[in-house]
Amino acid sequence: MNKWPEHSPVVSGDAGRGIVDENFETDLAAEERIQSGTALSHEGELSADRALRAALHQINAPRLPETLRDAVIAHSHGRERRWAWLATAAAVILSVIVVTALDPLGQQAPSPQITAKDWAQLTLAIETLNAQGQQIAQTTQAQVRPHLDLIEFELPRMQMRIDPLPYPDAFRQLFQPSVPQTRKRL
Amino acid sequence: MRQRFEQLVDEHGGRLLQLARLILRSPSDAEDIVQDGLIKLWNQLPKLKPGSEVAWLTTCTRNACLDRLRTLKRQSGLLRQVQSVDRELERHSNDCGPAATTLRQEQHRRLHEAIGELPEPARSLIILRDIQDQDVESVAQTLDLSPNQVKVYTFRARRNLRRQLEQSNHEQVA
Repeated sequence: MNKWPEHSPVVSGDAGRGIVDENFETDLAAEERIQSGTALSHEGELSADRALRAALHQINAPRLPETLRDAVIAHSHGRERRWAWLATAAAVILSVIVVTALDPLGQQAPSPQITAKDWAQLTLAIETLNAQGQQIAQTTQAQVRPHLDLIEFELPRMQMRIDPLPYPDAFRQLFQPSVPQTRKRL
Repeated sequence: MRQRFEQLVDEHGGRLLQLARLILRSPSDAEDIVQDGLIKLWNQLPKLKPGSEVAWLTTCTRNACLDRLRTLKRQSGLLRQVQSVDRELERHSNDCGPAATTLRQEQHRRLHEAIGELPEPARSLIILRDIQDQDVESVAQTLDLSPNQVKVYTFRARRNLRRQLEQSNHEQVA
């Protein structure tokens, strides 16, 4: 009964150690009877054990002293406050790092200078436009020009008491060779 | 998390203090141990599984008490420790005022003393199972025993305690 084995072969599988607890099952049954609340009036030892258990159960736990409780709670608050300070400090440092890192990037951004490649592309575009413009002009001229009516006009007679030129159409032919002869005014 | 922590402190702080006082028999040492244990709990709370906090806290407090006992024994020797414990008990009794002279208080004092003299794990089993009425599974987890071992060892611890008290009563009467 008074043996205090470190382990029970019954429940912990320590049979290999050679430790034999002969009273384990007996004591287990006795404890379960004490805990179960069954009548033990004819068993003086078990009744006394149960009475002691009841007496022990009446010992109330003390209240945690306020000073101790406050100290522990303050510790937890203090740590959270410390974390809050650390988080704020980390945020500030991160902001500074970001600003410091981004500022040189902004300063080192490429200035808007025209490179040789840009010039080549620009020249090509202008030449293309020029060529296309010339082609359009030629086509338009070829298609439209035959339909143009001869603008009839008369040379202003100048009141200079000078006789008109004797062969005005001779000059006209120099500039307008396509004018039909039928429309010549002579 | 802080709310959960405060809940644990309020619900189990007193029982931890009782455990520490009964093991150490020194209120001031017990309070130090409990305070350290609760602070450790706060630090460990994010890592602990929900529901395992009480067992962790009880184990932590008990181990700290046993470490403190071993340290005291090494430093001062058993005799000096007993004298210190007696002084603490006397001071504690005086703190309780005139009621401490009653028979009931005297019985409680002797009961505390007898519990304190039990070897481990008998002392912890008496405190956790009979005084604090913790369930078998929790105590088994705390003391690293099987549930049946908890029952049997508690039975034997209680019977040893009863015999000690009976012997003490006989000596007093004699």
